[in-house]
Amino acid sequence: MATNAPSCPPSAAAEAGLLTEAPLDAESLLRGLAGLEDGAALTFLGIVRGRENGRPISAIVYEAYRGMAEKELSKILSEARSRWPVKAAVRHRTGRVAVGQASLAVAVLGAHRREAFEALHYIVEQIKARAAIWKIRFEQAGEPA
Amino acid sequence: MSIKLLFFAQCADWVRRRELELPWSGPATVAELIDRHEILSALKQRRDVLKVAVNEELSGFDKEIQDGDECAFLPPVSGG
Repeated sequence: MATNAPSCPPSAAAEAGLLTEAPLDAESLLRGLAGLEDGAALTFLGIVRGRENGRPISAIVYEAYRGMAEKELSKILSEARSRWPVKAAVRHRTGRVAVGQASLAVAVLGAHRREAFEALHYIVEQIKARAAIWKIRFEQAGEPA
Repeated sequence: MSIKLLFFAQCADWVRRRELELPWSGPATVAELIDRHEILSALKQRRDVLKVAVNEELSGFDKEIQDGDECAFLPPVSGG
């Protein structure tokens, strides 16, 4: 549900380093956003599954066109903030991500759950459709890292 | 005077490199660049699945490339 709510500008820390090779921490994303008016706090983790096309894998390697990907991730967050009265943050990993680890983390805070769920869904779907990030290799189980 | 080409994911496999610097010999569109350089021939038949970004902005194959530009060839994304 679109609203004319004013956007909630992010802190500089929340926007920095949208791409990282380090393991993701959804809780720290939330801590960077939290405020006294927030009644709904959501996090999404996109996890590397153990099978690809029916075959077991041990990891996925991600590549990004860094400048363009970071701009698009930032734009997607801005769009979500202008459509819903929420605060939001995202981190996407690059490099090798092992099965069971998160490749994508999104945190959304809002006064109420409805806008928070809608914004979170929008952000995840847009990232998957638009960000200049690719899965470039699926490591087979047993293959050296 | 040169231009920088970047190839991501499957594009890097098709042209067998991740980046390439070419001398800039005057204005040319991305499509003309692909036609002129044999090293880019693998991209010719794949234009329908590729996107092009010039200086980190999505563009078309008719975008004119200038001296110093960075042109990236992007297959369908698969992040998340």
